[in-house]
Amino acid sequence: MDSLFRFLKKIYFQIIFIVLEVIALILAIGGDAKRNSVFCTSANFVTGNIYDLAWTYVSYFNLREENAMLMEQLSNLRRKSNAFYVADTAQFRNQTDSLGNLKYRFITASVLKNSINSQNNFMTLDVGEAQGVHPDMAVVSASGAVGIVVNTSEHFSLAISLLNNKVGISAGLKNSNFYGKLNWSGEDYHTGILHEIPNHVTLQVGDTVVTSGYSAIFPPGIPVAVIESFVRNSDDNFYSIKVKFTTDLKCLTSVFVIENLMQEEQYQLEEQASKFVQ
Amino acid sequence: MDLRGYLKVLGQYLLLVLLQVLIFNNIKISSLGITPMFYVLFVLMVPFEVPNWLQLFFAFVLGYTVDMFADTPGLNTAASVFMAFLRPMMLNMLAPRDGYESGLYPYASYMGMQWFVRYCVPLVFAHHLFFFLIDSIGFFSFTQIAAKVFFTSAVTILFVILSQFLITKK
Repeated sequence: MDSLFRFLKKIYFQIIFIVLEVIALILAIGGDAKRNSVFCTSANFVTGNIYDLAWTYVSYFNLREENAMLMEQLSNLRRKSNAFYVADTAQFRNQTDSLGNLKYRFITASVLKNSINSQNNFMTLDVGEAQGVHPDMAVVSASGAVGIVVNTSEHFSLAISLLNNKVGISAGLKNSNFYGKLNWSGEDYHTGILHEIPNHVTLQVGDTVVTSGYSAIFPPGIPVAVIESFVRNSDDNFYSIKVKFTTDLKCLTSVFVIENLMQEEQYQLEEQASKFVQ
Repeated sequence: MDLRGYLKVLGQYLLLVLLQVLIFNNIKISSLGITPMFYVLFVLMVPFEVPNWLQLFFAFVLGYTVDMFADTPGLNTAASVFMAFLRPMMLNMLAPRDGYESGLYPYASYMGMQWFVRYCVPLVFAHHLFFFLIDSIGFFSFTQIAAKVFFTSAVTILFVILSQFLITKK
């Protein structure tokens, strides 16, 4: 018994080390991104408020880029304005208003925190449940899709970034309707990989990749990336396509959170369908 | 060590966490997104008198706090605890012939710059190696990890050594 105590006294340092290390490793490796985000998140009260406080000072430094981006958005909107279209009054038509049902709601948000250096990156936004944000909403910048909300608190929300091994969004080619899955390459913050585009489709470097809208998270047609290079695989019938994200995820300051107002309905229907299959 | 010593450690902890999450986490050098992990300076600067097992807990709390801000559960925690585990061995290897006198601190201003560099370089490197190995689980690419470990270590060590010019003897 005495020798056991002496032994324990000799190795207690190693034991404490192993215990603490195992706890940390379970947190780091165990569990999926979603559960982890609930466990330890900057939507957390203390961390969220510290970031919020810092943001009130830091946001001034980005005003120049912010302005440039807003001007660009403004010009895009102007281009769509009625004044630039000619009314076609030559013939009569009977048309019911097809835009009666609003499907997507936009909420503007600031990015309080955004990482690009990990293999599993997240961003913290300054909107939360109080603003009507809930998980599974799309996060989109002025130039393209950037993430998906996974967790919310009263005033903050945490979004999983496109730069995350555990994220894949349904995306397709703008000009040919073929769609596949878009993942991060894991290498640097502007390259992604588009899978599942069949070999027979004609591709061109510079083609735009847009969201497909199949997932009920992103509205269809939101740009995500442009094709940088592609290779035809001979072993399977799909291309390997390297794409460059349209949004510079390194300097992300303001975004839109998009709510699909019919998401619940679509999910329910799809769930019923999956019951049929079984 | 007396209460004042521990309060000083607490102050260093708060300062380094704030510096890390508000300033250093926003630095992203090159397309690899190199972010210096300056907070490891805390593990390096814990006074000699603090018992080794307590240093492990300090490192755990430090890493956990940084993880909370960075949304990387366990990652910084695991690497910091690993670093605190290696530190006593490193100190043993670099100990003067008659041990560390009381009143000394593991800062360059007390131990000399040469001692400090030999002390911090392997520990920071070990921390970063452990960090990126765990980070890459399920996504392993040797060249990428090697590049990240090397460049991030270089940048962190640069900042850690620069910090020593700001810390003077009392």
